[in-house]
Amino acid sequence: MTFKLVFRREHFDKLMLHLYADTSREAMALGYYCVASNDIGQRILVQDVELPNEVDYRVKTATRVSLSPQFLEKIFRRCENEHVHLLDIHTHPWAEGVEFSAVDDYEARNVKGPYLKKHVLDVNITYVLFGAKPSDARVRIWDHDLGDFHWAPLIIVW
Amino acid sequence: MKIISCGKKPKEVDNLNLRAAQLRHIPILGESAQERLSELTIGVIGLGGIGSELIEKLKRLFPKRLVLVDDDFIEETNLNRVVGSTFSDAKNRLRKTNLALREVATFNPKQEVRTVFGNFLDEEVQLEFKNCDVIFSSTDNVASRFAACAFGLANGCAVIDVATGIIMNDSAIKAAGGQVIWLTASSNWCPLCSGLYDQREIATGLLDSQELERQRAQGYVHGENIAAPQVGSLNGILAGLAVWMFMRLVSGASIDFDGVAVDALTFTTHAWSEERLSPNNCHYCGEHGSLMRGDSAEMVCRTKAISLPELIPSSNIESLPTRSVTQPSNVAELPVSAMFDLLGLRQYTH
Repeated sequence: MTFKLVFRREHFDKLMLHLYADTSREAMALGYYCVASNDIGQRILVQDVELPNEVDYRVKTATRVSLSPQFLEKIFRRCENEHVHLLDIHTHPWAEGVEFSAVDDYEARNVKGPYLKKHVLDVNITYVLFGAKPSDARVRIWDHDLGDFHWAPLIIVW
Repeated sequence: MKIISCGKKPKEVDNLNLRAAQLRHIPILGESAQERLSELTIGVIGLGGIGSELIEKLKRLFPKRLVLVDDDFIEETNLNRVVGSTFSDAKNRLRKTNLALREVATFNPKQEVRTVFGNFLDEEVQLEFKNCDVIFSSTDNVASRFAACAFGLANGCAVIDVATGIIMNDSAIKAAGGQVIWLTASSNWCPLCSGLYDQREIATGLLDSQELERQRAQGYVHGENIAAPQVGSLNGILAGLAVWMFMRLVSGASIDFDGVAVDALTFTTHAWSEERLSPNNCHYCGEHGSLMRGDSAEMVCRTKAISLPELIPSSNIESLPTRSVTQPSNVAELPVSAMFDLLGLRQYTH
């Protein structure tokens, strides 16, 4: 199976402006996506991006970032109502070689993934990490059934 | 188009000959673009005159995977233009998919290829294209061309549509040429709402065989079964232009027009841009329809009883805008009448 993440240009440009507005601290954004799939693989199709304001963050430091439960609740409801999945995007603006951190791994495996499976109907989650530059990126798709990630080798921006 | 590699190491070049084979176009694409191209899946719909020319060029770009579809066989009348076809193939009524597979596999046995003997207007055929990043459309009817565009918009893949046509007036050539159009989920136009494709032809192409017979008996069906003259040289020009456009996109160039028409009688090329709707309520290219909805978008296919109003759910036929186009700033002023002569060609060939 191969996986790819696909953005429309206007969403990607808006996202980059938001994520790299202040590179002294990590930044975060969320998105909504649909899937195009067959037995060869999946294309993750970004429908829209949600850019949090300062008040929507619970933590926003040089090495840590998370969003408030109130903000997340609003996003989860939209996912359920519009039958779309959740894109969880954050940056490591300090990273030379970009990799998800141990904290990212823990939260994805033990907090976010299980929470969505239990409380938010039929919503999957894909994680995107950008490093010091937008061209340094990692994408992984959480598989509820597998209890592990699929990795996407490409982001395509049309 | 922008492509970002996400940490996976570039494919190891395990074959020095492959590297040498790519050497002459890497300066054009860029080293990293060739690596990214090698991760792309490319679909070709229609493997006749234009489709076979497309494959001839695409296989030499070494993409990750090719997905090829056609439901036709090689006949003697194809031999003047279908690349690789032989008298023996015509005698044996070889499937065009098998010919395409033979051509690709002979050239590069390591090339991943999936061939589908079928019609793109069938749902199970469209499913095979779900993993394509780019689809080249070169079929002989407007319905499947439109289905390809709707599929591309819904599934986040670019569509490059290639067509040629020659119109005869008695024994003289009245018009000859072709066009390449391209669209993506960011294009904000489509051939239906722009009026580029004839809606009655789309509706006819979507009829199932029983309904088609009924309407044909009543004289409602128009524009089909026209044996148009076709030549390989013209197909090759348009296919080459389409693949060159694709190469420019992969290398990150921005293309500020939506289509290129080639007038083969005056040897001129015209680029044009389509008018954008604002607000765009088109079901296919607007924000609130099937755009990027993937598996949840309804496919345009002939297995479903679909009427024209259903085909255009968010508007109606009378309210569709009059077709208007603009030329990009970097293109010299050209006679618009010549351009419309070409765009008016409806005898799509393959």
